Amino acid sequence: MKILVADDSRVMRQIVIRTLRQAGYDDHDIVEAEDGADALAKVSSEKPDLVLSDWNMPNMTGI
Amino acid sequence: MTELQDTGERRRSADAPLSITALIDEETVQSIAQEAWSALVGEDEFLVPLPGGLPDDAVSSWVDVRGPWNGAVVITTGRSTAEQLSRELLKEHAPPVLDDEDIEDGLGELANVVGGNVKAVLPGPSALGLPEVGSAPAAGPDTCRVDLLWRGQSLTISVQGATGAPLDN
Repeated sequence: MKILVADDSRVMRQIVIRTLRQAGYDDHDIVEAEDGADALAKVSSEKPDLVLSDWNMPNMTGI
Repeated sequence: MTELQDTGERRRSADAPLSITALIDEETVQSIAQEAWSALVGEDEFLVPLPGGLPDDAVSSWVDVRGPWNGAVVITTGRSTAEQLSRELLKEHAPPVLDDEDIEDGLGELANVVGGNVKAVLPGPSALGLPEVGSAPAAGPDTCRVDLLWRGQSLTISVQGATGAPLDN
């Protein structure tokens, strides 16, 4: 499974990825996006199975 | 028939800004902060409610809250404490030397999480701004402030009304 983690904070992306690994999702492919616009582009290019997104981000929100 | 005069008294009363000290107390702010520290910094990381002096190089991070209550949630601590906090947040992904961007990102995210949970206990729908980092914004009289120690180092968290909030930077 490919998971897209979208958050404008690098620290928070690391926390989410660490939490995923601790929860047993350590053998999945994880892709990062640094704001809403980047997330939208990577949804198209990476075609993730799951998106975990922050809401409040610059450029474009997670919604 | 006597015409009722609009003195504006009732309207002024209804429009009066909400006081943060009527909406949240220090114990709640400390509890919210402790939850954030346990979840993000580490399960065994504790905030002790004791006052301590902030160093000269203190740095602040804050998020604005806009809604029925307008203001900001501000975390202020020494630069080296902010660096240690960011290192703990990044854990094994922390580089040997943290740059300013990492430190500001870490402290900003703590303000973001604490601010989001403060927003959740305030009345009505509110919006949260993006985290900002810089010099401590001035606090007005409408402030609920807690002085804490983390690993023996001073840290303050203020929920402060818009008078002293950095709303239009």
